[in-house]
Amino acid sequence: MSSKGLEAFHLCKSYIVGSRKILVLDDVSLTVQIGGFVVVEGKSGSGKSTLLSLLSGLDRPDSGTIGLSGTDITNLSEDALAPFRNRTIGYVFQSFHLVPSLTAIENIAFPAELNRDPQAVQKAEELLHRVGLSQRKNNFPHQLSGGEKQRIAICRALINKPQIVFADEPTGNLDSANGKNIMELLLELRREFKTTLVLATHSSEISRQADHVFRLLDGRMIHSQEDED
Amino acid sequence: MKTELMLHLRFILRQINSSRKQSLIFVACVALSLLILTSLGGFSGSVRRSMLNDARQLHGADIRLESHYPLSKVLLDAVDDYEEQGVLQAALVNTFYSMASSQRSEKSVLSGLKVVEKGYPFYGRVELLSGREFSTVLREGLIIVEQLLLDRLQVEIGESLQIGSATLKIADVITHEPDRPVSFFSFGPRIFIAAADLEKLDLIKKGSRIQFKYLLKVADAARVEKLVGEFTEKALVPQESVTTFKTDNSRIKRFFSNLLFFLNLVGLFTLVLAGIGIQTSLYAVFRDSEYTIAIMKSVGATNRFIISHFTAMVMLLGTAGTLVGLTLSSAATLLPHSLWRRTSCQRQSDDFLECCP
Repeated sequence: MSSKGLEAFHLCKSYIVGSRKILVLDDVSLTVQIGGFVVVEGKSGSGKSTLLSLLSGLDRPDSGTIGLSGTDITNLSEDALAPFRNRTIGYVFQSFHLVPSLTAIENIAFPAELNRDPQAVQKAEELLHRVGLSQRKNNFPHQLSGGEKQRIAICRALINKPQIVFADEPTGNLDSANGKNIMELLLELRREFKTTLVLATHSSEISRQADHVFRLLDGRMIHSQEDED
Repeated sequence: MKTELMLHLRFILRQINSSRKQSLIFVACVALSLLILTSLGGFSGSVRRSMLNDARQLHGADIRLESHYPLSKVLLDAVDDYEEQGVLQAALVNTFYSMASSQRSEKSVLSGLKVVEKGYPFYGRVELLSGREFSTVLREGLIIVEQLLLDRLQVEIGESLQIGSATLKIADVITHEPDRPVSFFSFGPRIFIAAADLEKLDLIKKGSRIQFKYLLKVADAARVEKLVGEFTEKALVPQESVTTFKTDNSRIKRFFSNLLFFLNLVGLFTLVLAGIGIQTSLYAVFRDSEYTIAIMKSVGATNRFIISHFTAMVMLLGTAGTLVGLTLSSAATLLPHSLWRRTSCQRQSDDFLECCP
């Protein structure tokens, strides 16, 4: 495995639905350089979310290999993958997925506390301040708006300063104004934290801001294009 | 380590708070199980201890010889021998039912007659309304009766009653009879008659339903078991029985045995239900936590962290349930004492228990 940021070769993934086998990803390969902003673009059902969950180690491919920061994560055990995911990867979900029983600050600090970082709460407070939600730190997720939840989720993804952040349609559940703000925040923080961002979207507008765009159609990579800008 | 513990504790408290309904059910079920186990055990133990403590008084003697026929000569001779040697004291007690009537009020009532010899009762005390000593009041020609009898016959102390062929004068009223076992039915109010008047009554005939009893008080308690063995060998089987306060199968003993059996049965079913409650509430807590577990794993929580987290949560809830259960069972252990006091009281009416103060 090379020392490149992210490498995936010949990924295949299928799901069994009833008695049918549905091939979601078919021989997908990609390489993402460290510090880059890449977009995985495709229509709904094209396999974007599945690809991101494989690349981030949340799910396992049927075949193929995934290398992240020089580590082959394809066959890592769950116990080995968990701390790796905690330190190396951040994940922003479309539906936020905050722990409902924890407050905003506790949700942000949680990955750092898992990493036994004594500065966890302080770092979480700084991040909250950075995204302008200091006054909401003791609110529970059900007390926050969609945009606020996503900002908390971004802070959570960045607290351990991961090498790579995966964002699966982070604006998908937000209105256009909120979506635009969140994208701006995400890109700003990416630059600040000097982290690689892999973002799944079906928005061409967002794709235009990326360094590199991978296009998926029915589970196959149809186009890989460097941003000429 | 400290950071991880704090994280666990804070997270556990948040989790419990977010599924407080299921957590409360879990705690209640654990508490209920413990309450059933400890209070039933405590209740049984307490009743047994109380019964043993009061058994001698309820029995009225160290040894009791009983029969529905006059006691056999061999047995009576053995008792006489030991009485002469000063090994024991004996008192005859015959109980049977008969009509008691008042000529003045022209009323009759079926009564429970108890013909006793001097010395009765060896343990406990028959308490009278006047406060006098029972042994000094019950003499030839006099009777001591229950208040209920006075009420039913509409007579008063000092008046005479016709019982069998004898006319006997009411000397006092019983307020407490120590060896009267608890029963929910009685055919009539009690009348104490001195043994000297037994013949005058002319009620003991062939075929009469009489319970002949000999109450024995043994001078040396260590000899009780040996004497019981000897009397049992001499007693006619099956009509004559030899019992001690430990072996007597009195009505009160049977009542509590049946009660405890019933309570154990109810306890067993409740325990099964509590077990189902624990399982169901725990399942509900975990089902509610599935989403949280998925998020925890996605941000890098190990299986060890998740398992230890939920184990600690169950232990915390279990400890809370245990503490609640122990507190409740401690309170429940006070109940048997109170119940025992109530049930070991003298019955003052025919059909209902009246309590001691």
